[in-house]
Amino acid sequence: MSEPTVFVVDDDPGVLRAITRLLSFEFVVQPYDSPSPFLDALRPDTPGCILLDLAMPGVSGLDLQARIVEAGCQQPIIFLSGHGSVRTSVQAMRAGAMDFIEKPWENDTLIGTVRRALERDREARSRRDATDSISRRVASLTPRESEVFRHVIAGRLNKQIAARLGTAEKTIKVHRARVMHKMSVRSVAELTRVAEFMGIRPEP
Amino acid sequence: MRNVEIELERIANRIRMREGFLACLALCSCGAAQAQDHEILLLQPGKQDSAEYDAIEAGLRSEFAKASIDGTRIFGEFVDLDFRQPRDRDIFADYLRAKYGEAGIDAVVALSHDSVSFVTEHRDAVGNVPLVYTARAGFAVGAVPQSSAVVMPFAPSRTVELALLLQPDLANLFVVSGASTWDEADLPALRGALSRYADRLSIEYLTGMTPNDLLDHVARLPSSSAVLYASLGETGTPSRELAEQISSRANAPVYGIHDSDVGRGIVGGFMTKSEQVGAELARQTLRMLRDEYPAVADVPGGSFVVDARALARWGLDQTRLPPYTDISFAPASIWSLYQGWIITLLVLVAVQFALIVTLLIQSISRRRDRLALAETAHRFRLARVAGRVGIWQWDLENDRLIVEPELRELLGYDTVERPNEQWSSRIHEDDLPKLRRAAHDHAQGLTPSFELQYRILDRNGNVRWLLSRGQAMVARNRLIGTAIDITDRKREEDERARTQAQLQEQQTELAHLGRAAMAGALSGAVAHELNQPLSAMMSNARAALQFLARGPADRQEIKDILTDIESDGRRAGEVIGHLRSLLRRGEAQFGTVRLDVIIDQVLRLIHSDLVNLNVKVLHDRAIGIPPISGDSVQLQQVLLNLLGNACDALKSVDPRDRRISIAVSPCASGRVRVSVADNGCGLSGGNAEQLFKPFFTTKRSGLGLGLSISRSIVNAHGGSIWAENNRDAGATFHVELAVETATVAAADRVA
Repeated sequence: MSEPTVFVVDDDPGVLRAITRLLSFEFVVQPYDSPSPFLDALRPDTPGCILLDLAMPGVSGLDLQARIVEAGCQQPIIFLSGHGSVRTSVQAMRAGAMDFIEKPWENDTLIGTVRRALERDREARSRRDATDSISRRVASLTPRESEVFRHVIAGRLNKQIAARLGTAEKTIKVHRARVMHKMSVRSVAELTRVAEFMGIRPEP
Repeated sequence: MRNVEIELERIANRIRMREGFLACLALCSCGAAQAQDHEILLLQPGKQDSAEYDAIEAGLRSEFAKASIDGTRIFGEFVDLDFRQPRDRDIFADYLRAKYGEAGIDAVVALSHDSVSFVTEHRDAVGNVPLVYTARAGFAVGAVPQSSAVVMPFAPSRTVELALLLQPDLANLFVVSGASTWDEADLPALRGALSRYADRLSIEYLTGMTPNDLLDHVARLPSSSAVLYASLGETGTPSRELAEQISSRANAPVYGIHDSDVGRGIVGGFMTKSEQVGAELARQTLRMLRDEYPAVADVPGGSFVVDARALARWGLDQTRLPPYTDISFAPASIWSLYQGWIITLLVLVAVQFALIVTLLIQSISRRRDRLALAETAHRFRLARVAGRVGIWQWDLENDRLIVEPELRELLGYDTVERPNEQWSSRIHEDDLPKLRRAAHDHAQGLTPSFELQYRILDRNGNVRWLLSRGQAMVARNRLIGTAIDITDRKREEDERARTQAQLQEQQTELAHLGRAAMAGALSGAVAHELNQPLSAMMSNARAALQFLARGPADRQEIKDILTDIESDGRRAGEVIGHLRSLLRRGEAQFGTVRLDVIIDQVLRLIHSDLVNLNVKVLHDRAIGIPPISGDSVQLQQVLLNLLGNACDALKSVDPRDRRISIAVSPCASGRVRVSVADNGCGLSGGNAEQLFKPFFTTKRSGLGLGLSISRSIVNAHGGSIWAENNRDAGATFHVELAVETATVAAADRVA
């Protein structure tokens, strides 16, 4: 697992240098003075956060944000803005921006915000890891097993399920055991929680 | 005896003279002659008027010369026809014998009948050498041994032909034949020759008459008559005088047959030139000397010869003359005689005529000039009075100003009245030195003309403005010029200038207000501009502190940080300066302005606004745009205004599709155009011009002064500003400004 990195993108070299200097005491910092090399370097699996100047020539901060999301990157984005207009801020937040820092910033605020952003990225990343493993399990279910899964979390008995699906109770029993095994749960209650987590709806 | 002696002496004298003359001639013609090939003795009748014989002799000599017989020497002797006694002839013969005998000469040429007979008689006296003599056609030539005759043509009939041509009505011909023996001998031949005209003419022969009878007779001839003078007159009455007398007395034209008679009053005739006779004699002599012995030789030719004066006297028509007639004494001779004089005279007359004409023209033109001058003076006076123009003169040497009547009237004086003091002391004390300097500069040729406006007190002590224009006269120490009263004009100008100044002041104030308002609107943008360096400074400062807090710091790192802080601080200062200059109050300060630079400054100023609105700006930078002359602050104001308007117009457009494009392009005649185009809501209403009127606005907030102020700024720059809707969407504002003059001049030089 690589070190979380703070990506800083600002076209103002003075500002870029200052931020890099300040954050380098605590974090790994990657400064970029224009969006393109940054976009080339950014990978979805790189942990870290992104500091974006909202007002850059060529590609505006909002455009860049859209491109980052398109690229499937979910690192938290912190916008640095001169004087944030409400409208732009709302747009940015809607698009997933984590925070706004107005220039001139308090250094502690900046550092704190970056710290929080990295924390959030770490949490999100572990959550995404968990989700990923459950998803893989769900994906390993056969269609019949998925059907049985949804009937089980609906609280139905093997006999009832067998009747619904027009098969033997014994067969259902085998399916249920396989689902429980594949999903790595020991009880129906656990299975129901997983289903909730994954957004899988019970068969009505 | 005594007579004989005298006679002999006379003859000897003549011989001496003659010989000397001929020798002289021969020497002249021969020069340094070699051996004298031939020596010729020429015998001539002594008593005759020598013209005819001189001509024959000349012909003889020239023929000998032509024959290139070097050193042919001609001796001449006169055979007098009036030897009184036969002894005289013997004495002469002795003389010849003594002189030419014993092979002294090679040939003898005898010109007259007497000469021939003398030589025939005393052939031994000349050494029995060949004899050549003249004979007349139709005249019997005696048998002279070792001799040859040159036969002169005898064609009296051809002379009659001439008479018939000139007098077609000729009826009577009177033939005058002399009393000489030759004449008598000629007569039968003459009769024979003329017999052919017997049927056409009544021919009467006037022979054997005394000269007086003859003259009386010819004076009373009937009409339609002519006289043929055919006498040789070799003896007796000198024929030449007779020819003249007959010609003057006769009442009818007289014709002749001898060329020696031409010029003595006869009309003319068919004649043989004596020179031709001489030439033939020479040729015949040469033939004999070459031992050819032709008996006779004819003189070739003969021609019609007339006397123009006689033709005129008888009123005979020249055009009737046969071709190739030799006309003597033609009146044209006056021209040939006096050609030089005539030309000189004509030139003199022409020169005089030219002089007279020139003087006449001068006189006329002088008169015209005088009239024109008077008229000009009159017109001039009219113009001066009508235009209220006064005339002054300034004697710079004596510093004396002379004011002419019209100018006095202009200043409120009578035409004769003058102020108590000098005119110059009435000129405004501030203007007088300027006036003097201008006058002296012009008088010294430093300036091409003298022109000045100055103040002067009129009679009532009121200040009047005069405009004087002058020119240095003859000597450079006198000026003459005009003066116009421009007091009213000046007053109007002052008024206008005051109004203009007020207007300018108001406009400046308005522009300032406009900028102030804009500065307010820009505060956000300015904040952004300040925030950038401030943020950087803060972070840098903290970083430096942390470096220091961590222990012994890297000096280079600290130095870098402090350098950055310093430059960011300067940057912040510049932003403040820019803002202050925008808010500056005061007059325009023109300088060299690069439009791209101004556009960059303005874009930086409104950068954050553009970002907030998500407006994409396309600044099309053309290469080689010349700088313009203008006030950069005011021009920034115009661009700020245009870009601000464009942003406002874009608010109704989807944020992802907001565009502004700025283009700078050169256009014709030294101007540059800045176009600001947006894809916003465009201009509502038809009239784009009303946008530029004060207090016209389409926005909810706004004074409606922005474009009005912009236009006044652009106009003050000598440029123009206008707007138009785009074809697809939005509007474009154009600003055209003049390229800096120095640049234009440079471009012209390059071109």
